[in-house]
Amino acid sequence: MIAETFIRGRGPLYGFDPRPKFILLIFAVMLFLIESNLIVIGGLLLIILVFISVSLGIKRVLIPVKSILPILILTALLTPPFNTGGTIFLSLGKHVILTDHGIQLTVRLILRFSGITAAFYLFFSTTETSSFILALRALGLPYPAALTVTISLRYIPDMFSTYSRISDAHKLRTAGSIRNNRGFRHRVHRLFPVLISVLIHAVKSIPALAMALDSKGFGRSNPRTSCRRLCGWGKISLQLIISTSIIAALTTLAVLC
Amino acid sequence: MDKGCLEIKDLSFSYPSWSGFEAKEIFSGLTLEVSPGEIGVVFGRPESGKSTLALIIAALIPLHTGGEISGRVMLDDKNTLKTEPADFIENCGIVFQDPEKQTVTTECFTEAAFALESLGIKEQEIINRVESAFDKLGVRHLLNSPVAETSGGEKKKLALAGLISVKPDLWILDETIEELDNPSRIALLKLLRESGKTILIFSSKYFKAFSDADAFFLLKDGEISDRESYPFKQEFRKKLITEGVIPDFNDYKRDENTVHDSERGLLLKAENLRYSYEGGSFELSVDSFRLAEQETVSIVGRNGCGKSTLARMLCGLAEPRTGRIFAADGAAGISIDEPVDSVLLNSFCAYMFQNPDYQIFLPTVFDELSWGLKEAGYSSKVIKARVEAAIADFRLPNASTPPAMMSFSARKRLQAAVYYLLKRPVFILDEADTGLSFPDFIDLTVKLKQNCRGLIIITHNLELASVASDRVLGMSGGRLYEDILDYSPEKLNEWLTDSAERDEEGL
Repeated sequence: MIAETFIRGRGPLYGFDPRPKFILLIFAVMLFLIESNLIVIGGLLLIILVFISVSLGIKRVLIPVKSILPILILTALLTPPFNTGGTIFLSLGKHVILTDHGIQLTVRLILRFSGITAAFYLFFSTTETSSFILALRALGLPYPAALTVTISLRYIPDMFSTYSRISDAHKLRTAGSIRNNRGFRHRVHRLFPVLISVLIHAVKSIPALAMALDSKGFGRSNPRTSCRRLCGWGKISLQLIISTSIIAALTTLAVLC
Repeated sequence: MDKGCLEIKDLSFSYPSWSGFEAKEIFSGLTLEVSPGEIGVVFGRPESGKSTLALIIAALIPLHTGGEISGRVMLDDKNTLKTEPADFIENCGIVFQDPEKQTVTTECFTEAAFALESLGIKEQEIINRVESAFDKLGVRHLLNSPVAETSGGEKKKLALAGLISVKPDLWILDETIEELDNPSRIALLKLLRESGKTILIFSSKYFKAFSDADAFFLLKDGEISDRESYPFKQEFRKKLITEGVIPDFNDYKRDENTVHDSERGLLLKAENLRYSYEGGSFELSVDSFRLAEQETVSIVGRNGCGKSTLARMLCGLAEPRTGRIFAADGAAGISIDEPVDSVLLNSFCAYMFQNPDYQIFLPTVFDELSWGLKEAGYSSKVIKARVEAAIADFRLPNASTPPAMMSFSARKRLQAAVYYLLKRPVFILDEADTGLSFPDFIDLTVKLKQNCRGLIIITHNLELASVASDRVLGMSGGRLYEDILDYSPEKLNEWLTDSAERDEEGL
C-alpha cells in the first residue's frame, strides 16, 4: 500500500496549486471526450506531452501511451471494420475493411484515450497524494470520500509495484528453464500465475488496510485536523487567472475549429 | 491512578473455519497481567499466536477477521473486546509485524502524522511531536521521504514514530525488534524505558537488548507461562532454548579451519558496482565483492544501508549503473574471469526476498514445489518424489494445503524449499531469519548448503552471522567493507555502532 504516482521534480506544475490543476484536468478530460476535431484534441495531447517532457523529463513522454498500448492496438484493429461509412480504401469481397470514416474515428479514439491517460499521468506525477486529498476536500468532498478516492487511485501503482516484484520472483524461478523460449503464446500463458498472485495480494490487503486505518484512528467522531493546508483562494488568484485563460482559449479554439 | 494496566483473563479464541480448513483453538484460558509502566516481553516460537494476541489486545481481532472469542481483555477500565479500535488509539497503539500492511499514506511525515490528525490535534503540535519522534529514532532524514523508498527496518521505525507521537498508555510491538539493527534495538529499548508507558513486546527471539525488561512470558500451546524476570531461571531458560527463542550455539560450532577463497577458487565476484535510485540521494558503491566455492558470507549493516539492493544486483534483478559481475558457471562454460549478464545471474543466484508472499503464488504447496521442476522438464515421477522429500525436509504441511492459509514461518520455509529444488549455485537469504526460530534458520542454512555452492546471508542477527558464516562483511552508507576480521557478536556490534556514528556524521 505504499507505491505512489507522484514523481519528485521541479517545474511550473509542481508549484501550481492542486485545486486549479484539478479543475484543468477535469476540463481537459471533458474536452477530450466531447471534442471531435482531430486538430484540437491532437493539439491538446501535444501540449500535455510537452508539459510531461518539461516537468518529468523527455524519457517519460511515452509512458502514458505505452501503459495503454494494448488498448490502442485493439482500437486500431477493431474500429475500422465496424465503421464502414465514407470512401472505401480496402475491402475483401463484400467485407469493407478500411474507409476514411473508419480511419478518422480510429485516430480520434486513439488521441482521446492517449490524451486522457496523459492528462491523468501528468496530474498525478506532479501532485502529492496529501495535496490531492486537500484539493478534493477544498472542492467540497468529505474527508472519508477524499481518502477513499486517493487510496483507490494509489492501488493502481501499488498493483503495478506488486506485479513488478512478483514478476521478478517469477523471473528468478524460471531462469534457465528449458521452456523459456516457447514463444508468445507460452509467455502469455505464464502471465496467469503472476496476475492471479497480484489479485490475491490485492484481496488480502483489504482487511489489512481496514486494520491499519482503525489503528490510526480513522473514523473517530471528533473533527479531524490536518497539519498540511492549502493556501487561501486569494493567494492563488494568478494561478486561477491562468487556468481560466487556458480554459477560455481552448474553448474558443474548439468552437472556431 | 497510573494508566496502562493490562489484564487478560481466561481468553480463548479460534479463527473461523472454512470448507476444507477446520480452524483450531489458538488460545484456551490464556491469562496475562502487565502493570502500568512495565516492559513485558512475550516470547513464542513462530505460529504460536503472538500476532493474534497482539491484535486482540489492540481491539482489531475478531473485528476484522471474525472468529470465536471468550474471556476478558481489560486495559484499565476498558474491555477491548467491546471497544471500537479507532476510539481506542489514545489507550493502545500497535506496530504490526509487517509494517507495509500498516502504511496508509505515501509520505513518511503524513504517515506518522495520520493518527494525530485523527485525534484532532493542532497543526503545530503535530509537527512538533512527529519531528521529535523522528529525532528520537534517529531517522530525521526520512521526514520528507516517500515511504516506498525506505527499507524494511526503516518502515518499522516509521510505524514506531507514529506510535511515539500518539503516546498511548499501552504500546504493543509485534516482532518490531527483529528487523532493526543492533544499535537501533538498544536505543529503542532505552527509549521505551524513558517513555514511562506500559510496553508489551512480542518476539520469537531473545535479544540482549531485552535484558532490561521487567517481565518475561512464554506463549506456548495457547497458554502463557508465569511471569519471569532476568536473569532467567534455569528451567525457564531451558524452555526458551527448546522453543528456539534462545539459540544453543554449542550445537552449531563454526568451522574454524576456514579455507580462503585463494585456495577454493572464486564462485562469484563483483567489481566497482555503482547503483542509485532514480531521483533518490542514496548511492550504492561496492568496489569489490567475492564469494568463494562452498563459502558462506554474511552481510550485516544498519537499516537502509543498501544490503537488499546489493543482493538484487547480484542476482540480476537490478542493473548496476557501472561495474561488472563475474560468475564461475561451469555448466554454461563460463569462467570467473568473464563478466556475466543479468539473464545468467537470474539462474545463477536464488534470491529469497524478505517478504515470502512475493515469491509464492500458486494454489497449493504441491503446485509451488513442482512448478520449477516441471519447467525444468523432469518427469512426473521424479517431481512427485522430490516434492514429497522437500515437504518432509522443510516440515511443510501436506501437499494440498493452500500457502495463503499457512503461517508466516511456514511460508518462509516453503519459499526456501522452492529454491532448494531448483538447485541454484548461489543462495541469497535476505533477512530470512525474520519469522523463523534460531534452530529453524540454522537448519535451513544447513539444508541449502547441501544443494548449493555458496551462500550469502543478509541479517541483523549478529549471533547468527557469527556462527553461520565463514566471513562477515559490513555495509554502511551504501559501501561494503570486506572482511570484518574479528566477527564475534560483540565486535560486530562495535563495528555497527561505529558505522552508525559515521553515517550520522555523513548526513
